[in-house]
Amino acid sequence: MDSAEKRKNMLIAVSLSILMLTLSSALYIGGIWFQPLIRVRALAEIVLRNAYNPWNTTLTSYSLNAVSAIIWDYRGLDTIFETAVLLVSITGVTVLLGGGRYTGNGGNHGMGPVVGFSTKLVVLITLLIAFSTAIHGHLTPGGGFQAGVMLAAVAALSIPVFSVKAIYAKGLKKEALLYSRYLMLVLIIAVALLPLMVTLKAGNAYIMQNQVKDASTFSLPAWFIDTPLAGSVFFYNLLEALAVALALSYAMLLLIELGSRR
Amino acid sequence: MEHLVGFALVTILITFIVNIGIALYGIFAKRSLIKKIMALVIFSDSINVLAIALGYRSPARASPSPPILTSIPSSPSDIEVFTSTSVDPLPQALVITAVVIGLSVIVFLISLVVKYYEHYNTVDLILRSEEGADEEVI
Repeated sequence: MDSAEKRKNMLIAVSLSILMLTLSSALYIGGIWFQPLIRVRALAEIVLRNAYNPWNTTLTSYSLNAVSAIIWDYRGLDTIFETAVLLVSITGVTVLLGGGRYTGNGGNHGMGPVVGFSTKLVVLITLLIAFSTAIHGHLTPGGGFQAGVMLAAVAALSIPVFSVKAIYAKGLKKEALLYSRYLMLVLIIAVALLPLMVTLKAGNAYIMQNQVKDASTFSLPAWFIDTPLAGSVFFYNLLEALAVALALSYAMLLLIELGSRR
Repeated sequence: MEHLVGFALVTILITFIVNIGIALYGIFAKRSLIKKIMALVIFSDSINVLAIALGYRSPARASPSPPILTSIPSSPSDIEVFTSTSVDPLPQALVITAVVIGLSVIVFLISLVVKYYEHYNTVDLILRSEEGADEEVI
């Protein structure tokens, strides 16, 4: 990029930002633009009031994190299909790019023992944080998907540092990652269908039911000793973290292997 | 303080709307498929941030808090305070779904581009008017 083009790009950026500031000050002073609401919408208020509310047992999910409560309880079916979409896309990538075998050409060189050791430390810390994000998904910011992306970052870091060859020499098969990804979806659906076990005996239950409802006494554990466990939200977060991590690590291995095949 | 937050919010919203426009231009105008995918990522992420910003709550009465209850065990008054200060959790829950779907779409698109590169040895779009008469039509 020569200097004239650089100057032109800089000029475009500066004039665009001046335009944005002028436009927004005009709109703000005129008061004709969106104002943040004083009260949130009625639906959001119901969710916020009931996400953790032991005094309203038929609507609560015992999840202190309202977003997790929406994702895995109030709109849970949505999220199961969302994780199924991720699986379908990974399967599509396999159909397009898979089928080959790792030939051992390329991707052989790690980055040496010093980088390897410091990466091991970073990987350890990242693993700890990722698992705490997953198992505290209903108590603190975070949840299954965020933790899964952190775990995938571990894979993204280790593949170039330790080399593809060393990772395969440890006995890891990339097909195993894909099959475990399928297993995670099956387990998530199993947790969703768990309440139906009650209907085998006498009693009512709903698919993806978490806590007691009006017509059903089924309930997954809401407390773990003295901490809210939020029933199915905890299990879904854990399984989703593993599912996302497996899917992304598999896609990364597939793409890097493709580069080494050429 | 309230004016500053309001002005910042308006600026952010306007900027992201213009960002969406620029990203749309990138999707349609760029020849390189990789640049098209980059523009698509910017497009979807701008919409996601816009959606989260729309769920922000006015700081006029009390400063807004994240949608997470922080006291264990909570009393009914804690829950009332939480309900009256927390920002809207629904856009955040919808956006995380959109992020995952966007991610799976991008993984699939990138693998399509890899196939395209293997076939044509370029990541640029080949236009119909430029190709030779005996070349394969895409």
